Amino acid sequence: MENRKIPALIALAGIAIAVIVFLFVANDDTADQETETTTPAETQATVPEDEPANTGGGDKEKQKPEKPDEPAVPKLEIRNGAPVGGPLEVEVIEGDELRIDVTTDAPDELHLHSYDVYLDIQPGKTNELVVEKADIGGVFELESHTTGALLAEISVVPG
Amino acid sequence: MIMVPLGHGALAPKDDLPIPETWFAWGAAIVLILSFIGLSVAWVKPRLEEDRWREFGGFSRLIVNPVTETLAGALGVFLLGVVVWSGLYGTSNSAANFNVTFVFVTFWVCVPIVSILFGDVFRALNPWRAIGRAVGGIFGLVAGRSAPAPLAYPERLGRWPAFVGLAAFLWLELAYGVPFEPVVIIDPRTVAIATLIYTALTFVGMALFGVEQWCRRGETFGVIFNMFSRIAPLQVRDGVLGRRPWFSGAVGWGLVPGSVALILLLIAGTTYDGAAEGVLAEPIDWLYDLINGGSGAEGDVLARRVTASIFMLATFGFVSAIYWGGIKGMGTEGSSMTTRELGRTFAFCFIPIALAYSLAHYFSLVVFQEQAQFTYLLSDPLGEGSDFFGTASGTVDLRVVSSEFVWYVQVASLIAGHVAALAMGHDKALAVYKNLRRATQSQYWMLALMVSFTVLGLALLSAANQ
Repeated sequence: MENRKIPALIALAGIAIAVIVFLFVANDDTADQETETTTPAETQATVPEDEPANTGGGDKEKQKPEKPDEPAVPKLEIRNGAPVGGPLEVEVIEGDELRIDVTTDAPDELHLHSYDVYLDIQPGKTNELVVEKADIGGVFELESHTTGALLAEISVVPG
Repeated sequence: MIMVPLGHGALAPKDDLPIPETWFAWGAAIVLILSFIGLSVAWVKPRLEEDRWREFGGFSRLIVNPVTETLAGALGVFLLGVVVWSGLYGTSNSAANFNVTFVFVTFWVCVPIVSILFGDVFRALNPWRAIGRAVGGIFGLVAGRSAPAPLAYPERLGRWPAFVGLAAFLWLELAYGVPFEPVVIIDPRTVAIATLIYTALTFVGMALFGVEQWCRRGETFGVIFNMFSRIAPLQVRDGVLGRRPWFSGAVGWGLVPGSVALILLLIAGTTYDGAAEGVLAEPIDWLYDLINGGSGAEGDVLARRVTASIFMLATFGFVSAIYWGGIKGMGTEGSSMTTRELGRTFAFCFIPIALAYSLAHYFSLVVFQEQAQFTYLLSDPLGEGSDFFGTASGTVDLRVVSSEFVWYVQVASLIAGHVAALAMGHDKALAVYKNLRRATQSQYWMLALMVSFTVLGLALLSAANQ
């Protein structure tokens, strides 16, 4: 081995060690978050650790997060064709049931992309959007079929 | 990504899940580890510098001959015609029309992948080249002599026309066609008209400088697909199919003026596409509101396009700054080159990175849209109910690849691109720098440059981008 390679190898060793340490640390953090957000058969609205990107224009705030230790059905309120508090962010484990309770002040039709679910919603009652088995992974948009507004962003994550 | 309202299937049916942070960390770590291993076991004499093309024996004449070339050209012209026809006379629903998927997925993403493996197949399929050659041939038949000699192509013009064409294409895809529900801006008709305009301009270029010369330097898609094909072990010379070592065709690609800008723009385009949905999403909204006068109106298409254009330009500047910063760091001492020459000399190393970026971002789009391409888009290109091949009722199966598989492909392609780039860069440094010490020094800068691009690529796909 030539002399010039020794510094490179030392650097390699140093970086490898640093990286392995980093991975252990990162792994622990993420493992914790995963147990927090995973619930057996129900879904819940979760707060992603980083600030989520907004789609569409104008000011949009994040939906107020549900308490993570209380599994509850995510609630979407639509007023004047727009989601109150910004688009709802929902995360569900692949294979589980997706359920969102929707209230609206005017009749509308909801459309969930890719799962191709259409739901007529009426004011004055709790409309239930249900997908019995969310078996396609990815990030999907729930939109108002009449206005095209983004109502919710649903992440189906591997279990 | 191009977003469209759902019709029959969808053009961008769902977004990929962002790569989880652990995967991102692993990916970056593997990149670093492989890089240093690579540096320490690296070879000491350049291996890619010689030209080692040799004829492919056996039935190569069956694959490459005037008949197959003519058929390929005819196929290319036919598909060009379908793109224009379906845009002008077919449905305005982008997801149901043949041309949007064909141009932005099958053509733009898949041809580079095929080119990297099998060589410059597009040269035979290139409709503009085929028409140009046909016209030249007909002229010869009719006039009894060959067409008048074209103008000499100025060396300094290089690949700049192709750069301009790429800029226009990316602008059309990412700024003009900025996602904006419910208004769909990149519609089939626009694609058809843009294609016609591009065709006309290409004819002018070919008329001025000659078909082959224009297609080598000025015709955007021929130039880009040829660039990718430099990686492949197959190349046709003077009508004969031959073999060469992997990557060897790429050496020196960047020396032609305009090439560095071209490859940086290619990478920047994919970078912008990814970032616009992630870290740049809020700044884009902010600038949009600023331009819009804060009226909050959602329908201001012009403001959206201007905003997108500004950020595209900024992303190009950002990518260029990283590149030239790295080249400057490598330094010209110990070589006989200027900084600019150095930048051009090493540009070819980024061809694998450009492909890795594209593959990582568009893999799932390809998996889904190619299903559409060969089912309902093939049998019903106009989207009005025909069924030429009996596959019009086919649908896109979104379950065919899992999110995790997509993550594997994304991370693996970026790592592979990085390793390839590093190897190519190392080989070139040995040839450029007069002594081993300087070559080694330059390697660390090269490594930093490539790690930057690769980690940027990973970051764009990961939760870090959200």
